[in-house]
Order: sequence, then structure tokens, then C-alpha cells
Amino acid sequence: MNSIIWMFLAGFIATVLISLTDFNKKIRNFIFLFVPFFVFWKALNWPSFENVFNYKIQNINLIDFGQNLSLAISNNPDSISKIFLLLVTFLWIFSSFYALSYVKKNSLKKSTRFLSLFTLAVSSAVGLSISANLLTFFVFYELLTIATWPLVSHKETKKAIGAGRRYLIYTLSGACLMILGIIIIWKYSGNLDFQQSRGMLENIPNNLKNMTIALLLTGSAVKAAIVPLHSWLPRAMVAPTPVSALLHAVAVVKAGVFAMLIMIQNVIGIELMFNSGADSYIFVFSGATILYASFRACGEDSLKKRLAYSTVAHLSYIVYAGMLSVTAAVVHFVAHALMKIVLFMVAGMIQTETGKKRISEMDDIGKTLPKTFTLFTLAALGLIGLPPAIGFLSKFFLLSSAPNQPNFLSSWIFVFSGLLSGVYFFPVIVKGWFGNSNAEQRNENLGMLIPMMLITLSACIATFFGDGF
Amino acid sequence: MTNFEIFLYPFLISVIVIWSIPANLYKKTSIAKYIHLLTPLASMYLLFGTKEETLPELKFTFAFVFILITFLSSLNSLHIKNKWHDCSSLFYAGSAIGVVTSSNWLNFLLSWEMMLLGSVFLILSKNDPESRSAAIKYFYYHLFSGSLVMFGIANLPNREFDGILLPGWDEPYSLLILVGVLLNAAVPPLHSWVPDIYPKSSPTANVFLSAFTTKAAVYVLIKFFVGLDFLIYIGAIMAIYGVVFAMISNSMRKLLSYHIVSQVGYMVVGVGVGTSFSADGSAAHAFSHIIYKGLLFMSVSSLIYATGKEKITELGGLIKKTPFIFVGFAIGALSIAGAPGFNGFISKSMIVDSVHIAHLETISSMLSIASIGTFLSIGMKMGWFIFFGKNTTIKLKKIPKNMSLAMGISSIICFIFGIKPNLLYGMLPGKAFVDSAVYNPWSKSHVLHALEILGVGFFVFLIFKKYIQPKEKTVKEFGHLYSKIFGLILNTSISFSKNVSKSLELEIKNICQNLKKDIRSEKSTLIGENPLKTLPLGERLLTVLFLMLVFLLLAG
Repeated sequence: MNSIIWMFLAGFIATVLISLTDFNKKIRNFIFLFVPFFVFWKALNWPSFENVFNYKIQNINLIDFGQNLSLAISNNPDSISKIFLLLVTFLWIFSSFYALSYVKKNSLKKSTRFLSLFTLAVSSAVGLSISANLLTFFVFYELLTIATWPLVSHKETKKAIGAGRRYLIYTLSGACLMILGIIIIWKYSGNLDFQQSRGMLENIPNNLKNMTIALLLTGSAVKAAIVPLHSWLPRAMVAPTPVSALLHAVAVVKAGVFAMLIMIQNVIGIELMFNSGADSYIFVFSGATILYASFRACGEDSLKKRLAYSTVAHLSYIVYAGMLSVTAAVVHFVAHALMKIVLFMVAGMIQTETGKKRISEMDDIGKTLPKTFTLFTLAALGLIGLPPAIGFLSKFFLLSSAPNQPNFLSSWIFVFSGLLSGVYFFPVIVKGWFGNSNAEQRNENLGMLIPMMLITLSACIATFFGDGF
Repeated sequence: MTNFEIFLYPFLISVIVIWSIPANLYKKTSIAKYIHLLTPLASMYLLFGTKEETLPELKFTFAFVFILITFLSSLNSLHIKNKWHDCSSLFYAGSAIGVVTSSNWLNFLLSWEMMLLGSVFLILSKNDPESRSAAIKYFYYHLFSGSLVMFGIANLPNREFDGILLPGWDEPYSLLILVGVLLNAAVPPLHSWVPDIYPKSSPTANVFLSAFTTKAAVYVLIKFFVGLDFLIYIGAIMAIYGVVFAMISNSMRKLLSYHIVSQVGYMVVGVGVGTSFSADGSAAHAFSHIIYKGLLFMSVSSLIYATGKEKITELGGLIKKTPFIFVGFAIGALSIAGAPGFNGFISKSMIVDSVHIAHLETISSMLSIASIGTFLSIGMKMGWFIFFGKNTTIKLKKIPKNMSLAMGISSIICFIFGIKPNLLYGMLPGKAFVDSAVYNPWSKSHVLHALEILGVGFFVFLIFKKYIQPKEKTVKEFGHLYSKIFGLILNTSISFSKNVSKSLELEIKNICQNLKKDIRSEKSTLIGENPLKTLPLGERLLTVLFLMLVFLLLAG
């Protein structure tokens, strides 16, 4: 069996093992922490050199259903998949440490369920990124949904269960649309492989073509949280913070955006997007999302919800930029993941250490938790588009994506939404550092602090390596 | 290594070192203050170390004066014990030096945005509600201008940095850069961040603030936009506009801030005229302006330290109590008014002369009016009503020695450059050559013109003293309007988006409930009679299975 399969298989096996080792917390935690390292190491070696030179073995079939239907893993990934994979596995390492400390510190109930499903969710995101055809892609995409659902409702309060149900309704309806689109493609072109994907929609009759495009895009737009399909995301913030951090800032929503990018770039093709008129829908909806979510974020007092709305806005940056320039989209894809995960982790840290959830209560939080809030400041400034974090660079790329478009006015939206990011983040920073209360410094939990520090550090270093000038 | 990094590193290292000093040690010892003071010296050493190698004259001039003013303002703030103040001022100064020494667009943009961060946290370091809201406003202004500059730079057709001129009007991208830079240069109507926000910062921070942001923008104008005609008119309007509002303001620092707008106007005129001599004039005037405006702000900051008052109406008759501050203030006032023998004279007359050479008589008379207004508002109005005028009984605190020292050194520098103009001229890119000879400010007509302006100012003051007297009234102008509009748009949009989401939720809920009802009831509004409801359970299951089979067959 090929070693690439272990990339997601390791996660699945670990899920089972973690759920079986509830009796011994040490073994359970060891497995939980070990798997991400293993998968990251595998991901670094993908595609391995032997496979690159051996062109005959492009894909590895897991199950063959016949009639060109199979579950298969790609051996020759395009750059978006590779970046998504590396991003998820890289952040998985840190957030698993964070999650474990969070579980311990908050004495979270039913922690074994939590940890095993967490592993399952991330490994299905891993599977998603290495899938070779649309069917495999869809299977992992839905596995991700189902694995995340109990995590959203983990607290088992009425609110949490309601949020979980809403999450499920939204994402599964999206899935229905997407599978319809996939079936149409398979019926007419007989092939779902990403490799020959350039002409995937060619054989479809014209009256069905537009519908297929609409089905695929709407299906993936649910997880990319494009208005009006976004309302599951702010509600899903009732989940424990590690879930919000890794899943709702990186894995799940980025899977949605990744699906959007794959659909736009590979399955439909950018040319057909413009010819069929789907481009204007994307521009209008994602542009409206950017503005709407930014304004909602400005009006939100709960820190996690503000971050959630900011996530909604920034996801649409990526989709919007995906139509103009893939480079800009991918850079912001990475940048947003690195910074938003830190922001969520900080929100969790603040809640754990001081019990504060609302921004209006956060006077002088910087004096209480100086290191944590330094990280918050750096990450938030990054999302606004200021140095030193990588957001500075990604804003530059987003703004430079303009000339690919005949009408450069389209990039103005990044200027204004950057301003709005300033409006909803900067007052928090000011409030945190320059409040009026007499706060005392507290100890910061190192198990949660160090992962955040390392991610922020990598986000800052990335600025100086991503030299696009 | 590029030049940029050499100058930035001492500052960044000091910021990190000062930040990591533990609170106890910071309070007890003044080790951080010495680091703060030594940083510009280290940078100055590096500057002279690299002079022969690569740094061009324009960059050298600006870097030199930035480092100089950093040292002086750092000396002026030596008694302040505030970590935020120390770190952010060094960061701010370092990034401003980074702006003027960088040699590619990435470094330029990076330090441009870092300058915003440094200055915002410097304003915040005062830590009271007023400065907080001011800093947030400042942040929005400069985030916007920074985005414009970034937008422009991101789309420039080529990535050359040194030795190019941007086309200004003609290309949208360079126009964006221009607008962003003009906002930073405080060009009306985009100027209001200067007079609105600078007075809300702490007095010692204000010395830093007055030096860097606007002058870095002037540097960019000189470097990339020399010779844009309309800058002449913009500059002349700026010069008058600043003076007019300075005449009617009562807060000392607000008055001086309006004079930043006015003085930058001169520099913008010099950029617009576009000869090598006028560009030299702008650079020279930026140089002089940084020193004498620093001196003025230092003297005002010591006045505020001594008296605790901000407004001119609350002060009076201080000459006997604070003679030393008076001397410092007088030298600054004479410099800004362009009195012969001080450094404002040697640089301002360059710009006025270059306007003469270009035969722009209207502009030249506008500049003369602005000069009269400058002397009138700073030299006479402030000087008279603070140091002479009615006597007030304010208990004075003794000002710390470092403040006096900083003022003394700045005064001496103003004086030295005033009588030895060639020290400055030698640094400039064009060596201040006009008609193939070094410019001589000490010609008879120049001196007479300068004295004329001072005399007119003096007499106008004597005649209209009653009207010029400061009044306790706040002037509302563009800044007020902008924050009103901005707040209105923001609040409406926030509530609008909330309402949209509410009605959207309601709509979806309704649809879902109707669907639910439809499915459960026997008669559906959508599909008439529900076939599934009327059948027994087993048959229902069979139907579903059959439908699935049909679906599979169709799909296959």
C-alpha cells in the first residue's frame, strides 16, 4: 500500500484509538499529539520523488466502483491543494497542543469524544486536500461536516444543540446541491478526475451547463459562508474555542473556500466562468458579503462573534480575489488562516483565564495577560493589513490583483474593507492596552500560550520570505 | 545590506530591549532613557559611516535631520517614565528614517505602515479618554492613506524605485499614491488630522509627532512628484489656510499644528515649481522646519509642564518667571517667521526666490501674506499674550534640566544654520545652485524683504491687537465634518446590516415552517395532496425505495 494513504488513514486510526483509550488519559493524549506530527511529516514528502518521476501512477485508487467512479488519491497535486494540506497539517500540530491545554484548563466534559472527533475532522480535511477526483472530494467534504457537527454541539446546551442543527441543515443542503452538480458532470463527461478537468463541463448541453455551474458554486458557497448562506458560522461559535480556532477559522471554512477555488479554477475553468456570466454573481455576492459581514463585525460586542463575522468577510476576500488572481487568493488563504487562528486562540485564552467574553468588559486585558494580548495585537494588525504579520503582504497581493481585471475599480473593495477591519479591530486593541481599570497581571497558561506564539512568529517570518516585489 | 536596514536596526533593537526591561527595573533606574538617548547617536554614527558609499543627498539630508530631531526630542522627554512612550517614539522615529532611506518599494511601504503604528501608539501613550479617541481617528485617516499608497504601489507598471518620477495626474495608480501622500502631508481638506489630533497627544510626544509624518510625505513628494504644476496652487492655499486658522485658535499646540500645515505648504510649492533649485528649497525648508518647529513644541511642552495649562487665554505675563523658555520660544518664532540670522530665513527665501524666478507673482504674494500671518500668530500673538499681557497668578513647576538642555541645543542649531547656510546647502542634492552659483540668502533685497514682513506683522498686531486677542471658542472645520459623516455612515450601515440579517432570518424561518407544515399536513399548499401522508408506513417506505431506484437508474 502506498504511503500517501497514511496521511488520512493515520488520522482515522487515531480517532478510533483515542476513543478506545479513554481509560488511560496519558496514552490518549500521546496519540492525539503524535498524529499531527506524523501527518505533517508525510505531507512534507508529498508528492514523493519516486511518484513524480513515475508518471504512470498518477492516482491511487482506494475503491473502484467501475464506470469511472472511484475513490482516489492524487499523486500529482496542484499548488492550491498542496498549500491547503501543508497549512492544515502545520496548524494542526499547534492547535492540538492548544486543544489539550484548553481541555485540561477548562476541565471540559466528555473530552475523549471531543479529542477523537477533532482528530477525525482535521484528517478529513487532509483527505479533502489530497483527493484526486470530485467524488472523493465530496466524500471527505461531507465527512468533515459530520465530524464537526458534534463538536459544535459539544456543550450540549440548548443553544449549542440548536447551533449544531443549523450547521447541519446549512451544510447538508449545500452538499445536496453539490452532489447534484457532480452527478450531472459524471453523466455527461463520464469523468470526475481533476487531472483532465479542464474540459469537465464541455460535454454538458447548454441548457444544463448554467445550472451545473450554479449547483456547484452554491453548494460550495455554504461552507465558504457567503451571504445569505453564512448564518451558521457566527452561531457555531458556541463550540469550545479550539474548534472555533482550527475548524471554523481554518479547516471547515477554508475547505469551503478551497472548494470554491477548485470549482472556479479547475472544474468550471475561469474562462467559462466569465463566458457564462457566473463571474458577476460571484463578484456581487462575495462583495456584498465583505461589506455586510464587516459591518456586522463592527456592531458585535462578543469577541468570538466579531471574529466570526470577520472570518466571513475575509473568506469572501479570497473568493473575490480567486476570480482576479489565484496568487492573491492563495496568499490571503494562508495569511488569514495563520492570523485568525491566533485571534481565536487568544479569545479562548481570555475566556479561560478571566471569564470575559464581551469586548466591553475587556478594559486593560493587555495588562492582565500581556503576552497573550501582544499576540492578539500582532494578528489583528495583520488582518487589518499592517506589518509585521503576513497580512501586510497579502493585502498587497489582493490590491495588486486589480490589473487582471479590465476595470480596476473592483479592487477598491479591499481598500474599504481593510478600513472596516481597522474599525472593528483597532478599538479592541486600544481598549485592551489603554483601559482605565487597575488590572493585575496573571499567569498565562504556557500550554496555550506557546502554540499561539509559534504561529504568530511564523506569520511574522512569512512576511519576509514571501517576497513578491 | 541595504541602507534601510542599517538605520532601522538600532531602533528596532532598542525598542525590543526597552520593552523587555522588567517593570521594577524600569521604574527605579533610568537605563531605558539612556538607551533611548543613545539610539539616535548610534544611527547617526552609522549614517556617517555609509555616507561615502551609497546614500544619495536627498536621503542623507532627511535621514540626518530625522536622527537629529530624534535625539533632541528624546532629550526633551528624558524625564517621562512611560514604556509605551519610549518604545513607540523610537519605533516611530526609526520607521520614519526607514521611509527616507529605503531603496525599494517593499521597504518603503513597510516603513510607511510602521510609521503609522509608531505614531498611533505614541498618541495613545498619554492614556486618557481624549487621546484614545484621537488615536483611533488618527488610525483611520492613516490607514486610509496607507491603503491608497499601497494600492498605487501594488499596481505600478514597473518596480523601479530610485531615480524615477511618477506621472502624477496621468495614471490612476500614481494618482492614488499622490493622494495618499498628500493626506500624509496634511493638504487641506485632508489636513484636519494634524490640528485635531496632535494637541490631544502628550506634549513631549507632540515634539516627535510634529517632525516625522508630514515631512516624510514631503520627502516622497520631492522624490517622486517634482514638477507637478497644481502642487504650486495647493501649496499656496495650504500656506494661507494654516495661518488663517492659526490666527483664530486658542490652544497653543493647536495653533502650532496649524502652522505645520502652513509651513508644509511652502514645501509643496517648492515641489510644484519643479526646478532643481526649488526642490532643494523644499528639502532645506523641511530640514529647518523640523528643527524650529521642534523647538517651538519643546518650549510649549515645557510651558505646559510648568503651568499645566494648554490655552493662551489662561496664561500671561510669564516673561519674568520663565525667561529661559521665552528665549527658546523667541528663537523658534523668529525662525519660523523667517527673520534673518535664523534657519527659517535661509530655507524659506529659497522657495520664495524660486517662485520669483518662475514668474509666479500671485503665488509669491500669497506666500508673503502667509509669512506675515506666521509672524503675527506665533511671534506676536503667542509671544505677547503668553509672555507679556495680563499677569496671571499661576504656580509654576520647575522644568527639568533635560528640557532646558534640549531647548538650548535646538536654539543653537537654529542659530548656527541661520548664520552658516552653507552647512545646509552642502547637503542638498543640487547644492542649492542657482544660476551656476551657490545661492546667497544674505543679499540686500532678501534681508529687506524679511524685515519688511516682520515690520508689517508688528504693525498689524499693534493696530488690530483687540481682534487678534485669543478667544475661548473652538473652531469646527473639516475634521468635525468628517467624523460626523464617518460616524453616520458607519452607524447606519451597522444598523442596516443588522436589520437585513433579522429580516432574512425571519424569512427563512417562515419558509421552513411552511415547508414543515406542508409536509406534515395532508393537504399541501405546494403540491396538493401529500401522497406520502395518506399511505400506510410500509407502502411509504416502498415508495421511497422505488424513487431511489429510479434515481439510480436515471443516473446510471
